[in-house]
Amino acid sequence: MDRELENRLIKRVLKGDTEAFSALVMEYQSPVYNLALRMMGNREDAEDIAQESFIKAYNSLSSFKGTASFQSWLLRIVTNTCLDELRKSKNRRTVSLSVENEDEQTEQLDIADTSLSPDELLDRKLTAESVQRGIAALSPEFRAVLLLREINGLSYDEIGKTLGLEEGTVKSRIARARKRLCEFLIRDGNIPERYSSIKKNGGDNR
Amino acid sequence: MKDCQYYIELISAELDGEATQEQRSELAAHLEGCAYCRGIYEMLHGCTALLDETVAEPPESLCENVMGEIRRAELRKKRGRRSIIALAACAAIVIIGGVSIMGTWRAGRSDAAVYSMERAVSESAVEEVCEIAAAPAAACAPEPESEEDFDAGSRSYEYELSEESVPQERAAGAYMQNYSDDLARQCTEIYLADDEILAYISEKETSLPETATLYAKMYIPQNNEYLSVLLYLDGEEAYCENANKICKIVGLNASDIFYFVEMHSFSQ
Repeated sequence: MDRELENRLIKRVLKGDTEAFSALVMEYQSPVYNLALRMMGNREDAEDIAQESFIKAYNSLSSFKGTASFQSWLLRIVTNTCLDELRKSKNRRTVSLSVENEDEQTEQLDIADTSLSPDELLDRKLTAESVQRGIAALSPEFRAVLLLREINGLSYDEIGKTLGLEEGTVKSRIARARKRLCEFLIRDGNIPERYSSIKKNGGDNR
Repeated sequence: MKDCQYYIELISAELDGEATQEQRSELAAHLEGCAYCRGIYEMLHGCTALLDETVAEPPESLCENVMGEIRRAELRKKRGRRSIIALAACAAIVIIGGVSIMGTWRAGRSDAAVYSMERAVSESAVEEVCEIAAAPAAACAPEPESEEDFDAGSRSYEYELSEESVPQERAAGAYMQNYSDDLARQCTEIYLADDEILAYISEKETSLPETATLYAKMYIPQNNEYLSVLLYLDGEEAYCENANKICKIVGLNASDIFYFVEMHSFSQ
């Protein structure tokens, strides 16, 4: 959707045309849902968060000034909604999300390329689950920066604006989050051998 | 000498296309002499490739649920000012017949239509989004419609599509081909729900649009479902007074029509 049409749609919604909002939902449901899914670690919460975020966006649309892109404005809502929810659930229970929802995740990680052999598909699926567990093992703040970059493709500048962080902070958080995720994947045996050589020769440099 | 943490950030930034040329050279020089960072470099690249592979499809019901919530909230607000709603214009335009007899058009408006639209809006579901490209065609003749006629209550109006204004088959075809064949055969009525549709400005429609975006709300009697119609011409909002005009515009479109169809569930 081009920016101009997007702005027209937003104006329409602000004028009271509720239905125009559904075009925005259709356009952004994938980045919104995927961010929520990786943040929350399970499909059910992700759907709730996605829904809640869109409704929040609808209700506060008049505060969208168009200085940032609509997508990054929307993703900020998603991120904050996730962080709020994670803080709440942290108070409720201490069980790790990754363990709790392991079964659910096996279905939710769709792998688009069906030209692969069953073995390859299984491998990918296991890897995808492992990646999800690795992401869940990151702290929510680290998770958010990494996901906005990796899943939503935002620039450091946009991520900084989205989360209210300095660009330098974004940069170092992404690097750390990435490294932690890699270390998790290596422990989990889900990074190819050649990448994991790092384990042996890198220990004392950290 | 900078420590490896610094270079790890550079590796990560480079991966994201956020490193400057200078930083990239600096990194390359460091990687030459540091096996640890070379390992990290490989690892982070591998890790990013893995992340790319795990994109999930949002649940189909997401948009429907969001819009359902919003419509319910709006409806609650509207109920508070029902008297205003009663005054608000709501046009129901009905195409009589299926694809084979698309020539006759009928526009109607009634309290029943107002009621229907409220129901339709409250219980709607987004089902389908599709994009099409339609061929450019001849100029669109304005079809003035006096507001008085539209305000005349529950009467219906019939229009004949004039042969010279729009090639009828083509207009109908261009319109209908955006639906599955089955659905197209079922589309026998179009309802225009938005009160602003009535305010469609007749001076707007004489020039050919480069692009049009149509949000359609159609009634499908077999399923008792509604689709709604909103129109954007060259990115500007335009409101169709009647289905005849929609057909013309769709038939006339230049290269880039983006069709967004919402299907609204409705039951008596």
